[in-house]
Amino acid sequence: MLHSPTMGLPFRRYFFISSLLIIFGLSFPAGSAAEFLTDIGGIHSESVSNGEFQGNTLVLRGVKNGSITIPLNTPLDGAKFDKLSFKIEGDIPSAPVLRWHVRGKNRWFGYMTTFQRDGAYLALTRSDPTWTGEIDALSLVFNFQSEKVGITLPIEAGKTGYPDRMFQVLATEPISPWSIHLLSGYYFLGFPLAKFLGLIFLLSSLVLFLLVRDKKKLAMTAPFMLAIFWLGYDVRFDLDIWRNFLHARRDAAAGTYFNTADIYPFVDFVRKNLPAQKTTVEYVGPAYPQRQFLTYLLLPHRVVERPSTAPYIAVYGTKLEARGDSVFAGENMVCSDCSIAASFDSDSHLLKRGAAK
Amino acid sequence: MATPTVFIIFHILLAAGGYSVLRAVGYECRSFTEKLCYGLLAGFPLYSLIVFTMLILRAPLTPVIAWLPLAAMLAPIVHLNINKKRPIVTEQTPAFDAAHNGIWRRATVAEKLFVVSMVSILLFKFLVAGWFIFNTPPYFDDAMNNWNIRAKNIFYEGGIFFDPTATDVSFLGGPMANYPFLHVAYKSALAVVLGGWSEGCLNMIHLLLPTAATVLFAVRLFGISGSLFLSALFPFMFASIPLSFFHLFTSYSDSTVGIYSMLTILCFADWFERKHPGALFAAGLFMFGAAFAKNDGIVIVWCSLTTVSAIYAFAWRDWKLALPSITSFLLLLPNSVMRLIFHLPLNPLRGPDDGFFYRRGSAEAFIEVLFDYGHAGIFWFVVPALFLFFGRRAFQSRRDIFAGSALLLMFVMILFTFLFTPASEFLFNQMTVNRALMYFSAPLTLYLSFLCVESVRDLKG
Repeated sequence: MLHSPTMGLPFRRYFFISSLLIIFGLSFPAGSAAEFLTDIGGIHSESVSNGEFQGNTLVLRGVKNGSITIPLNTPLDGAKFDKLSFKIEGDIPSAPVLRWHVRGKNRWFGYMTTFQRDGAYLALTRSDPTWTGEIDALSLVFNFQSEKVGITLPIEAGKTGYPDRMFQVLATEPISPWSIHLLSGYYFLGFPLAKFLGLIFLLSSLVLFLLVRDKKKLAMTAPFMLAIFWLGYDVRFDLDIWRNFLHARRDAAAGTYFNTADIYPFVDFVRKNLPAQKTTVEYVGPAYPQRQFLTYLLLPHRVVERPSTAPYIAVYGTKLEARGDSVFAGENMVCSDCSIAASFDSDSHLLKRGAAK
Repeated sequence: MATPTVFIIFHILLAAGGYSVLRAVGYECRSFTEKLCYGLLAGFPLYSLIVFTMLILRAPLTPVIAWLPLAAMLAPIVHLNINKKRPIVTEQTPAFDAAHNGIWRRATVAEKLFVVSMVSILLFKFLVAGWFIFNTPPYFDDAMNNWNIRAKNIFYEGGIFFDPTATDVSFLGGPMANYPFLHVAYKSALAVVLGGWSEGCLNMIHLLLPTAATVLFAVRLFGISGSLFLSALFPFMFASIPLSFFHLFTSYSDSTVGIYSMLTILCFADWFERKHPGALFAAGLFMFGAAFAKNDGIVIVWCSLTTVSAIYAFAWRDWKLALPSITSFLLLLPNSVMRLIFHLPLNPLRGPDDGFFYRRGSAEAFIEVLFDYGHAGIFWFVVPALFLFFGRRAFQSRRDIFAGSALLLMFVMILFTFLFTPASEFLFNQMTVNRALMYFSAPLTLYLSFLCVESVRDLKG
């Protein structure tokens, strides 16, 4: 037990410095809601130094951590592709996520690529409901640095490649917070703020340690310095927690959350239209993460993979077409002898098997 | 009864049950705050263990099974009270309750301002996290599909399925069958207690545990330092690491491993200071908590603490140091036996051709993960600076030597995992790395607080 509760710490002189640092933290420019999503969800994206098309391969050079959006000068027509296979190669250590923006739906779709020894691959069925309409931008989300990355894109039927000036600019773009493990931190003068403040703290500690002879005074001062710097960084983080809270409160009131679009209302809709007793539901729609949401949120009802004999089929964000007795999503038959039990919107329904259309 | 009332009653009984068991093994708590916090932190893994054991013995998950563990945990305190046995107190330390009366009055204005700032910030974080728990829908995919879905399956199926072919139904609770059951068993039983799957109430434990650990840390540090400022500073560091904030309201087990790892070191420290055998049993219980929360807890926390305990038990001829490892090993037996029966690997990702060798570029990536993204704020810069000021204390007491060695080994194991095994893959998207560092940063903060308090005390003479 120490005799003095304050341990004689020289508070007064550091109080002034701490106030300055906290003011610095508070006044540090906070971004828009979209930028905030980058803060909590993405790795701070730097840049791609340049890029060009070589045949049907988009070659990006000087790629650094983050995500790249590639707006396309000429939108691709999703219907004109025979084969939908993508390959991402170069010096890449892990699998990136490839996404594309569908203009009509104003929505991003995408999949995690499969990482293999010679690159990352993504193959879609021609009728994949996400590759549809006018695709006006591509996006690559990745967590590595590479001198050169090549994205080999599928080619429209009858063409051999892309024009040189297919893309306009290469810009950074926030990625969604699917994982709580991704924190970007904040950048200050092009330097991570944590590193900036941390290095100042470390260096000033080193200088003080070397220059100040009175080690007793120094040891008593150290916890104070720590508190000042820690609070300085933390206040900036708290500001974003507050913005996160405001953003989430607005989303919660609207029945959605961050970038989940209308998946929660859709789950509620499906649940409401299912019988009270446990049943099985087949899911048709974008795979990740929508399927995971349905699987978890619909319990005790079971969500199963296609094909199945589940009595119900939940169709989300997928255009259906009736051909004869069957219902198709693109080229894939969803079911025969089924009917729409309830509709959520024009592309999302709950189908029931074993009933006449 | 309304769900919140049942929830509160349940957790009061859980804390009472945890305290009861701690008292039965002779571990002393010196104030009501300590009793409450230690009780909750000890009661949670014990409750979960009993529920899990009954479930794997094929008991159906009924209200009786869900309440029974609490009755079992409360039995020792009833017995001790009937027989009027008091807890063993070997030393009258200035207890928090007695000392806190004058502390606020004696503190300087600056000290008060700092403490109020830190406490306000923590309250703000905890309140926002509480809002998220009750007002936002399940969102993070791993939290839903690796953790909570297992508890939800067990709850709706009324027990555990043991058919490994039923992977899409609920083999051992469903996906990620190899994950341990600390949170899973608790949540499935609590859902039964509450009479339904109440997402918010079930996830509250992720906020309750860090809150209890932070308060306990502050109280214990105040007990040894008597300083209002220091007893707020280090718990504030522990609780305000940025990544920890997101773990307050999602259903991940990583911060739980960190908390129990820190509590284990705290109990070992108690043993070195007061030589209560009860402290070693408590250390064993908390070590079990870390190992039962995540497989990483077994590999990193349990293995490093057991290795260091074995080394110093031999070097110092202090065989009692082996008690926590033995206790936790025994408590882990139901889990270990089940894992053996169903061939559940600790690391399901490891392929047959994955060897142990240095992965090119992983050291650079590790440094980048540590310093560039702010998951831990400025924590990793603070650590070397504090060692600079207080490092010489590290070799002056058995407590600090032991804790330092355990932490060093823990860090070496984390480094080895991410630099020399296939887990280095995670370095490139930061995921597992920063979570794993949470197991280590929590006890490290405690250790640094010891060094700081002791150094300042030495210098004060």
